[in-house]
This record gives sequence, structure tokens and C-alpha cells, in this order.
Amino acid sequence: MTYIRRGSSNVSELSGSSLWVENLTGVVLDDLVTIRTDRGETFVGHVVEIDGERCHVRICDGDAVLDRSSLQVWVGSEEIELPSVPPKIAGHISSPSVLHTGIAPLDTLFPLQHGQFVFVAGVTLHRSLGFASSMLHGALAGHQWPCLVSLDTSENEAEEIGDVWHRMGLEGEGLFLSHSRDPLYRSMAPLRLGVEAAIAHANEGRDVFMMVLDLESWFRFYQEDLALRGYYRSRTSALNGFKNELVRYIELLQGHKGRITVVMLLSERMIAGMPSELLELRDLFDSYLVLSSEGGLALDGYTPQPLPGTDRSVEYARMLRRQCKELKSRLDAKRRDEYPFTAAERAYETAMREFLLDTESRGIADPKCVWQILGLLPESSLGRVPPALLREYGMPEHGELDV
Amino acid sequence: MDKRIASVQSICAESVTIEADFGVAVGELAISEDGQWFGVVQSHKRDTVRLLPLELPKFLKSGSRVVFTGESLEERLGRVEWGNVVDTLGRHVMKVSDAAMGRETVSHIAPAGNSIWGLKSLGEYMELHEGEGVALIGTPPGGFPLMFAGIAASQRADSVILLCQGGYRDLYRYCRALRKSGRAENSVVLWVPPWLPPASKSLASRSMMILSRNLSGKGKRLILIDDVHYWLESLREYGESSGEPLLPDGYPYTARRQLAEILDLKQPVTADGNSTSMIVGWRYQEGFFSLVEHPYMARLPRFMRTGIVLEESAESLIPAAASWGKSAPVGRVWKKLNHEYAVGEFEEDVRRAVDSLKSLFGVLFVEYSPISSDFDNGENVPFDEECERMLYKRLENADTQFYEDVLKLRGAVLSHYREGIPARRHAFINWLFGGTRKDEEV
Repeated sequence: MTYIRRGSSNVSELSGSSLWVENLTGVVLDDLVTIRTDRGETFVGHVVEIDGERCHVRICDGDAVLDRSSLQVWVGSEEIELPSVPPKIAGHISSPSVLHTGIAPLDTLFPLQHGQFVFVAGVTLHRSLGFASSMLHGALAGHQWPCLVSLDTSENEAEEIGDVWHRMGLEGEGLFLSHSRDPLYRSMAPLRLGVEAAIAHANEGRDVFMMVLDLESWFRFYQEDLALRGYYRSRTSALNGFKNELVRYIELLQGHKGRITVVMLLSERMIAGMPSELLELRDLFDSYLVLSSEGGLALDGYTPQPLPGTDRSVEYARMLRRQCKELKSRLDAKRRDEYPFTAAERAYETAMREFLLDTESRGIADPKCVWQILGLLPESSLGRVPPALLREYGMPEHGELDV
Repeated sequence: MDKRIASVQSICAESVTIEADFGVAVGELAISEDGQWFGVVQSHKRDTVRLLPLELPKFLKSGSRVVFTGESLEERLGRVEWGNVVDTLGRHVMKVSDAAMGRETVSHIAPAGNSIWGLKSLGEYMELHEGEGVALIGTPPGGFPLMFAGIAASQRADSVILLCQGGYRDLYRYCRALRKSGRAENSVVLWVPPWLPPASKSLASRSMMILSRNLSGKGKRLILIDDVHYWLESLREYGESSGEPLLPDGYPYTARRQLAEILDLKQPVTADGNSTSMIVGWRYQEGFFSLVEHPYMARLPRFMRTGIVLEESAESLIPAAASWGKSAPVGRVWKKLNHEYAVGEFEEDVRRAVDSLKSLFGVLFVEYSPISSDFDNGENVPFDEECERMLYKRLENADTQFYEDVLKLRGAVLSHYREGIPARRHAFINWLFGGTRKDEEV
């Protein structure tokens, strides 16, 4: 960022977080300015209106005592500002390879691929964080550069994340935190810094695993930003604007030869018993993962259609996942109608539940276990997997193979 | 054309004012001297003219000079030619054929006799005619852009006009799909990227209308609009940003009119064989039932003769009972099976068979998912009224043997799972007719 030394100390009006500055030549709407008090404190401001020789600046940062006569306003800032229109990227399609996280239900049913954008919808913040940390562990095992952006972090969380980072031997590298008590501009800075760092590492040829916690906070900051710029927006309309903003970030992170894998978390997908409207944003992502209220993986998510030539395991995972989903809806309907379960169905349900709850990251996950869980059910109730494959993989380890 | 030039007085994100000593017309376009910034005259009072930015105002500085060209949107869009991607202001973005294909191949020769709709087996669920409108309503996994790219790739219309509301990724996805269908040179993509100011997005319906009027007379034409809900939300955002009065439902008063503009672009078949068919997607809000909750969705059946409400079932999209329009034989069987199964009209033995048959049927006929890897290889095996009669005849005489037969058939069909829907359908129809129809079909 070039630091242009153009400024003015002629502040004609001051109200709340709003300044009217005279003769600040050459400013453009949305420019960042640096406001300096005589005590040496600096704040970041945004130009929200230009009227002839005057310009209207909103302070997005800090709430100190300001004295009109002692303020200096400089055009430009040392902060990073991402481009408001993403650069045009080449329309290439990369051939993604499978990203092993070592989390058994994830790798066998929802295999992620490098360079994908993943939307994770959790139920509670606490459990979602547990899953996020498992995923980070898994990514680290795959020699990726981990990058965690945590917005609106409480002291407890920050401490916990710091510990995790320390245990992984990363010493703060790739960790971008903002605290809950930070003002708006400082709250959003980690996101911009994280994106910058991720792009820089990807350009150096490293695989990056980026995780953003979480979308709800980001949306709140977005609305706060709108309000500070003096715009009135209803929540629905703000959501549309936020969707546009998110597309801009996603476009920025794409086009680095599929090197950046991004996971964004919506920690609470239900708000007061209703689905969060932020769930709509999942359309912008490649994969969608849902966590159950117990913290395990739920079967409702999806991953994209495998491109021709992708790992065979991805295709099998898709088949298994669709079979499991169908069984789930059938068993749910049976429970709703109060039909009794057979012994096989009970055994299947218990085994599947335990399997999905195990979200620890532990090395390589074997897809055989899902086939074996399906094998608990009679073949006639499995309509989506080829019987030959089921017979091949679905038998217990030491059982007879009947091909 | 004489150029009238004036200087910018004040700028904020949602309005720009200038002092002009000449007359201006509301709706006239103004362009900055470097050509980077566009605005449209929203109001004028004596010499003060208020412009609504159609491009981010950061391209503008205080004192910049703005040119009033007197040119309207119609004239700008009138210059658009087939094979291009343009934005709402008629600016050229790229050529459709410039999108890189990666490992996918381009088929320049479309198989003859295929449907113009590109809806694959979902299209067979309803009886569709050229020149009609079809609404797809639901929350498809991966979003509507993914689904519409699938439609764009498999449609066989003579020319295509597509509205893309996503970023570069969606744009490239659509361009690849159009190249794949062999229609790259006969298509126009109107691109409304999300980062444009709301005022610019609100021009989408007008631009679509102008494009559709100018680019006519090219045989069977198909218009694709990926997500009407998203477009309406952009209108809401525009309403709030421009100060246009909002109705109690939260949309500006122009939304109703613009919605009619955009949904009425279809045209029935004319005497010389030209027609304009249309597919629109509508994503409904999470957790609400589709047709009732949205203030404008109940208006849809007024414009669209066919509406297919999609339910997700194991990542496939299956039509729901709330769909409207005339069903094809396959749709009737599917509906009837579901209904009879739900009210429990079958005996327990047959019920199990119907259960299997239903899942098999779902796989065979109404499976259509944007993330499904099944693709149509052009082979069309009709499930006609005779098949419908035959199936019901077999259901009426069902016994334990029937259940075994269905299971056996399912095994056979599933072992062909890699061969796509047509091969599986062959197997099914052969079973239905006890092998007698095999020679006729192949």
C-alpha cells in the first residue's frame, strides 16, 4: 500500500463518529484515511461522501475523546484494503486431489478436495469449534499451510485457540484473531490479513487450508459497517449485500490453481427454532457439511459431482452417502409412523450413529467400515448401491466372501 | 451527437449530483470522461441533476467531468451481437467461446431430435411445449447456477439468452456449458456480477427485454434465468438504496411490474416456426414452504404454465406434489404411486414391492440432480401411456412373485449404474413388457 502524504487539519464539523473535513484534495469515495489526535492516537476512517471541497469521514475504529481543533486527517492508511472488484481470473478447471482430514465420517462420506470451498453449518458454537479444530489437525497432517481467521473471539476462545496453535507447533503463524471488544475496523482486519496471507502463500506454490469463524459474526460486522456509512438496510436486504460481499472474497481466493481450500463456519444454523437465513449462502460453496446437535457429522450435507478422472473413492463416497441418506429418511418415516424397527435396522442405526459421532482426526480412514455398517441390513433394503460391491466390501473382516 | 459535459459536485455511494446548465432527461445515461463510470439521471431540479451510480462511484472524483451522451440503454444494447457476454449496460465482457474447457470436450454437433429444454428426465415428468415458461422451485444442492449450467449444457435450442447473476466462476461455468452444447456462437449471456451497485442490477429485466426484442428470429429460442429470488432481493436492495418507496412486503413498487416484464419474455410458436421458451429458477427461503411464504411467488402460476417444485431426496431432486401443469405419463405414474403408497392402498406384500418399485422408479425416471454424474447421451427411450397401463396391470395382479421380480430387476438395473439413465430405462421397460418389446426399442 502506498502511503500518500496528503492531509488536512481543517475539521469543520464533528459529531459522533462523523467528521467533515475541508480541503482534503484528491480523495475518492470509500478511500481510507488516517485520523491522528494530538496525543498520537490514530484511527482509521472511511470517506463516505464528497461534497465539493468538503468530505464526510466516518471513523470505523476507536471511540476516544476527540477535539476538533487538534485532529489531523491524512489520506491513505497502512491498513490493507482488498479490491472492490475481484481481478479477472482465468477460467481454468483444475483437477483436484482428495484432501485427507483423517476424520472417518468426513473422508468416507463427504471427501473434500483441494481448492474447494466448504460451508459448515453447526448447531452450537462450542461443538462447531471442536469439529473445526479436528479439521485443522487433519489439514496440518496433509502438509498444508493452515490459516485460521477467527472474528469476534472471546478471551476464552482466544486462549483455547492459542493453545491449539501452540500444540501444533505453529507459534502464531497463520493465526488471525480479532477480539469481541474490538471496534469494527479492527474486527475485520484479520479477515483481510488472512486473505492476503493465504493468497501470498498460494502464489509461492504452497497448499493453503483456510478456515473462517464464523459467518454470523461477519454478517453482523457487515451490517455494522453499513450503518456506520449511514445506509439504512433491512436485514433481508443486508443479507443480499452480504452475499455479494462474500462472492467478492470467494472470487479473490479462487484462481490460485486450486491451492486454497476454504472452510467457512456458520456456528449456529438454527436461531430461535428457525433455520438461520444465512444458510442460503451455502449455494456459493462447493460442499456443504452439517453438524448434528451432538457435535457429530449429520448426513444432510453434500459434496460436488466428481469431475471425470477424480479418485474412485470420491465416486464411491457419493454412492454410499446417498444410500445412507435414503435409509435415514426411510427410518425416520418409519419412526414417525410408529412402525417397529427390525433388529437389523436397530443395529444399523446404532452403528451409523456411533460412526458419525466420531469426529476425531486419526490418520487414514477406511471406507470399508461404512460398507460393513450397510452390510448389517438385508440387501433388499439397499437400493442405491450395486449389490456386487456390497457383497465385496460389506462382509465382516473374517466372513466368507460371496461374489 | 453533441456532447454535453458537466462537473461533479458531490458524491456518495448512492447518489452523485452535478450542476448542469443544459437540459437533461430522466433515464438518460451519463458516462465519465475516462469511460469508467456510468450513471443514470434519476431527478433534476433547476440546474442540480441527481445521478444514480450504475458503476462503483470510486471511479469518480470530485470535479470529474461527466458526459451526457443522450444515448439510451436501448441504443447501447442494440449493438450486442450473438456469441458475446455483455453486462446490463451493453458493455462487452468476453466472448462465450473464450471460456477454457479444461478436460471437458466441446461437442459442436448436437444430436438431432433432442429436447430444447435440457431438463433431462425432469422434463419428461411434465408435458412441455415450445414457447412456454417453466419454473423450477426449490433449493437444489449446490445452488441454481450449478443446475442451470447443466440445463445450458444439455439444451438443444437454436439460440440461448442467459442471465448470469454470479461471479466469474458462475460465468465461466455457463460459458463452458454453452460451448459444450455447441451453441456458443448462438447465445448471449447477460452478466450481472454481484459487485455491481444495486441500481445497475435493477436494469437486468429491462436489458433482458431489449436483448430479447433485438435478438429475435432465430428459430427455437431458450431464455434461462437462474434465480429470480436473488434478482428480486437485488431489487429490494436497490429500493432501499435509492429511496424508492417500499411496499409493506419490503419490495419497491416497481418490483411487481419488473417481475412481469422478466417472466413474460416467452413467446408461443409463430407461423414461421420461431418461438421463445423460458426456464426460470426460484430458490425459496430456508425453512419455509415454497409457494405461500414469498409475496410474489403465488403470482408465478399466472406467468408459468408449468412449475416443478423440487424436493431433495438423497441428493436427487424429485418433483413434489405441489408442482403444477400437465404431467406426462411418467409424471402421472410417479404421482399415483406416491399417492397410493401414502394412503396405504396396497396390501402388505405388494406394499413392499411398491416400496422397491418406487425407489427404482425414482432412480429411473425422475432423478435429476445438478450434481448427478448421469448425463443424457442422446438416446431417448420413451415411457409412454402403454408403459403406464402395463405397469398398473402388473400392479393389480401383484403377488409374492412380483416382489421377487422387482428385486431381481433392481439388482440388474443397479449393476448398470455406470451406464446412465437410458440404459437403465431399457432394462425397466423390457421387464415391464416381459422382454417382448426389446426388438422394437433397440
